[in-house]
Amino acid sequence: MKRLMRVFVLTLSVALLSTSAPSLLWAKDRLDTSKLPGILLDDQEAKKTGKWHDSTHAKPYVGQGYIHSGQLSDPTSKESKSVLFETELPASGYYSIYLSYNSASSRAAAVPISIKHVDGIEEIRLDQRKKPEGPASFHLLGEFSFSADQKLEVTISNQDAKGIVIIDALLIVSKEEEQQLAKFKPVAIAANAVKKPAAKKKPASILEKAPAFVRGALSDTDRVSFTSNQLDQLIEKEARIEKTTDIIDDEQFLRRATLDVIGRMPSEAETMEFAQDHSPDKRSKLIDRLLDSPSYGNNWANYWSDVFSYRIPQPQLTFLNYDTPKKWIGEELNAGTGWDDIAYQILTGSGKVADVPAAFFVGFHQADTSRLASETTRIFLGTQIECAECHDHPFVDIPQERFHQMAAFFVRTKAELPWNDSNQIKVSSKTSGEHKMPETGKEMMPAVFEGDELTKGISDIERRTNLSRWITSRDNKMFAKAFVNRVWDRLMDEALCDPIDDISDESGYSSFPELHNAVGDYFISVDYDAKSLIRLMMNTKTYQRDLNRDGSTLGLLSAATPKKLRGDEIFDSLAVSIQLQNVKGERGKETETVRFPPPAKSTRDLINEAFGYDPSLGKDFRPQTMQQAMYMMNNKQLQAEVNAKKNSDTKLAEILKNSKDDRHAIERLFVNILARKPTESDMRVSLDFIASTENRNEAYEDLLWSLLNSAEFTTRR
Amino acid sequence: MIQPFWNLQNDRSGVTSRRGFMRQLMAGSAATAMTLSWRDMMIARADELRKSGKSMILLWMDGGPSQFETFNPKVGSQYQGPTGAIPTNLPGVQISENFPKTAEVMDKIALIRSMKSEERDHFRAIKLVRTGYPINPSIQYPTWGSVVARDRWDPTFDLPAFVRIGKPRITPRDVNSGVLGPRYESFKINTPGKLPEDVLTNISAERLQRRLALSARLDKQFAASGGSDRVNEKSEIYDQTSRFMLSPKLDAFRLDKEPSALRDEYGRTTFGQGCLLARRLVETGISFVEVFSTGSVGDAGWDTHKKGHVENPLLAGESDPGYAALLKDLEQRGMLENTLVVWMGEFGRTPKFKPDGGREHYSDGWITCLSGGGVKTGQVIGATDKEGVSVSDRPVGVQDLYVSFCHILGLDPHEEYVTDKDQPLALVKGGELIKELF
Repeated sequence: MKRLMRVFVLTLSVALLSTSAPSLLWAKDRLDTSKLPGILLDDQEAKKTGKWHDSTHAKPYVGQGYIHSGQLSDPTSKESKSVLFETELPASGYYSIYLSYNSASSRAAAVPISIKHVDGIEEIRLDQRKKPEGPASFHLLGEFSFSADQKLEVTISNQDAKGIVIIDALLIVSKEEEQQLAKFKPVAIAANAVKKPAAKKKPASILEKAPAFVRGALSDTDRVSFTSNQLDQLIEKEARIEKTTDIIDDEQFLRRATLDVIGRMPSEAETMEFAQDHSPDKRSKLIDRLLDSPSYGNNWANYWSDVFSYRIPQPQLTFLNYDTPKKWIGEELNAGTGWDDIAYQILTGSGKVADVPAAFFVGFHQADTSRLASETTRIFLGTQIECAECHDHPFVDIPQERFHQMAAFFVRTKAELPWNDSNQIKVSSKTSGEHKMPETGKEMMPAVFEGDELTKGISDIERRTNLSRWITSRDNKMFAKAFVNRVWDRLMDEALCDPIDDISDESGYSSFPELHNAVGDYFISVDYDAKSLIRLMMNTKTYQRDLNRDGSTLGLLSAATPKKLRGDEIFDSLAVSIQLQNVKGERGKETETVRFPPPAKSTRDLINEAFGYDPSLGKDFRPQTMQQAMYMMNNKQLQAEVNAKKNSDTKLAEILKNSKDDRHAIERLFVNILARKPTESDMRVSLDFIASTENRNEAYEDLLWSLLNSAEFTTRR
Repeated sequence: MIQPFWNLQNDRSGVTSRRGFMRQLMAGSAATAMTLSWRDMMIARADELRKSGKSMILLWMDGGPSQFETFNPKVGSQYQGPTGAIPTNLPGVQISENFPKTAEVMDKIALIRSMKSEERDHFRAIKLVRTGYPINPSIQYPTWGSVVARDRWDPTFDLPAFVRIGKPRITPRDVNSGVLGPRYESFKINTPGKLPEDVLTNISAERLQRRLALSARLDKQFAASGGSDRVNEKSEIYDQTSRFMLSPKLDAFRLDKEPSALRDEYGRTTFGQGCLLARRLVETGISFVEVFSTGSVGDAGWDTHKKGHVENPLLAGESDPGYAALLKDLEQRGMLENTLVVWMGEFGRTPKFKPDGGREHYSDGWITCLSGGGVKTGQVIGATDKEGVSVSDRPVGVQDLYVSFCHILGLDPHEEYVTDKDQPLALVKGGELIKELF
């Protein structure tokens, strides 16, 4: 390659000589760039600020000519000016960046050039008094790693450049294209031989909006009326219920229902109020009241955020913050928006996450075609297909093609990730590209499982809209059943079908298929309204059954099971019981040396870190850990609330101040922490303990600590 | 009506029984006689293994150390730059002048100069080199420490099996216990010599015991009303945690009992003191310790794109004394035979360098050093060509390294464990033993 370059420099200087005199012949002014590999950006395509001058003086050049910063005699040459080249790259990886210019002794000796790449910003100074090293008028600025998610940006200015800055064109060449570049033979051609680029090139990506969601009409035959009583009967029949546990008492019901709907234990006042209500339908009224509270949406948004986030890998340079999508999901659930509508928005969302929170799904997944395909089917259809990405599914008959037809729905999605702020992630649509099978390179058109293929070249938003319409169609029972299975798991602590997110007939284990279908049909007939489904389930006897006290073996759905609380539920319960504040940490500043300061962690974050679990995994994957135990036993912020001193302003101090005797104080402590009155045995143990401890304040601190660290506090019973 | 997605052709009952079997294996705490005895057996085995098994210390040069400025200087090559080479106590073997202390203990090192992989992006390379598996979006492979911790797991041992000292330079590029779950996650020490806040109780041991006893008594009520599984689980984990919090072995996490001269020898840096702490932890019976080297300023670490001429001596300034002192210290205490020490990063750096000594990512001919654990040391394995551009002799892949780790630690690379998706996963896939090491 070196030899080749030398030959070229010779030809080039001959060309320069021969064109220095005016000629009547067509001058060979331009460099033939038709054989150049990579992405070529002419100076005309760059964004310019300040006064730049066009020139065709030194030949050959790329395109119509080049620009320069002005003759030194020109006073405007001293004014600051810059040029920005930016482009999107087809794939992440290493690219070599070349600048085309022409050299002379009047040229700048130190042109400042900054190149933004994955690992930072490279600042270099280029000496344009020296000849470009080639090929042709190009000079290698360096090789850097770039991400397809981030625009490549090269900025050139005249600041302290020491002479005339020349900018002709920028060339970006991938590793694979280097060889082709090495073979490039520069030829200068006549001006008219260069074809003008045809119409303006189609932009690589655009922002498309999906049409608004339209729900299909419900036929009368599909209308299902279903009461909680009927549901109980169906359960009894299908689960062959013989012996059951008793219905729980009001206290236990209040705590269970409050935790399940609004994600926290009830307060002392709520417990008292519920105890004093003697109306026969107080339980259904409570369920309605809880579903009307805005905390309902927030709680279930926390759950859904966990469903999504546990399977979204953290990108390298942007910390994902789920607050925005959480807030949006919460508002939609509170407004009673159907799950079909929400799913449609999530799958078709485009724009900036800050403006269109639903775009988080594609954006946070960084528009990764494979992950979007497998997560879409897993979350919205309860069907796992990721095994089929690389080979035919090992257990069931899913040919590899099925996976890639699904992936083809997302092949034109595009996500741009800024540094550090995930609200600024932008989802848009690529205007070209088809999905290819990894080994064979065979083009795959989007198709759902056994459905027809969409036509080649169809736009991104049409692809995603088509997919979403099919997924949320009333005919697609899987969509409703996947949702029902998750709500069933949350409320009954036992999914209808296990694994929770693999419910297809072929690989799931539906314990009660008829029941699952019936509740699914009901969910469809109430227009996918989650509140109606929750109301139906919570009003059943099945939901209100006690834990199995005597240890005898009872069948599924005959008794409740103790369920571990999620991180958010524990934080929100601590906030109610001992007034634990959500203290926000401070995020470190972004500096030149620390480019990615980790985000600050709040009290809620710390508790989620310790107690959170992937809600799609079964109970075997919710182990109690030492980290959890240490948090409850020792965490400083939490322990500061375990303080009985009069002026400590804690819940405990307030209870001691306002209780007439030990029995009263103990009772209030139990109600505040466990949302129930102490049993006689609890009372005796507590009184004995207080009597046997010298310092009364210390005794109460120990009692509070013991209740917070009880197995009961972190369990929904 | 939309049809089911695909037709099942396999025997459904076969699938069920396989899954059922895996599930039973996973549910270690199910209170049936059979699983209990199986569990007892596992406990006995773990205890025996932990006591007799070898430990591993991973010294992780986060960011990808340059081979030219560490263990493969190419004096005379256009790519070497100003950093010189010095002789070591192995005749004929030279290393970078930035590592004078390590040069004196080269006889305790098996130096591989021919590591080769396809990954030149940090995240992908870290996944590969710290788990032994190439990146796969659908499986979070566990980091090697978690795999070793799983093998050496002993519920009767007061301290965690896997400890990490120091922090990765950029958190989202980290790998964790993945599909092995939180039990085998590393216990993290950010500052050597200082335990994390939540470990320390602000009350006396006596009062803590009093509280634990009261809490256990109150738990009885819940156990009797159907919560016995939760109460048993709590009691087990609280037992383990309080034993940890109050363990006399907790002293292993302190450094103030070490002689000041020894602490100086390790270097008064996070990494140097981390190496010393690693020795103390292994001495106490911890199976796997990883120590991160990230330099002292900023989050660039060994990722020396810029100012390599300035940064490399600084980075070596923490790595060299800590590493050399650790090898000497372990040997003097007779621990080196039973402790595998590995020095490495996710890849190497380009031959081409910038005027300031900055080099880009490169994965052809990077460095891994092994010591102890019965490895044949005092040798160099593999080489790159004269200019240092690519491996010219004995390329070693990441999987080869992992098969060799297994051999040293007494693990079977083909052994399978079950992931959270019920998939059996081998400790290592592919790779061949690096025979020269034995």
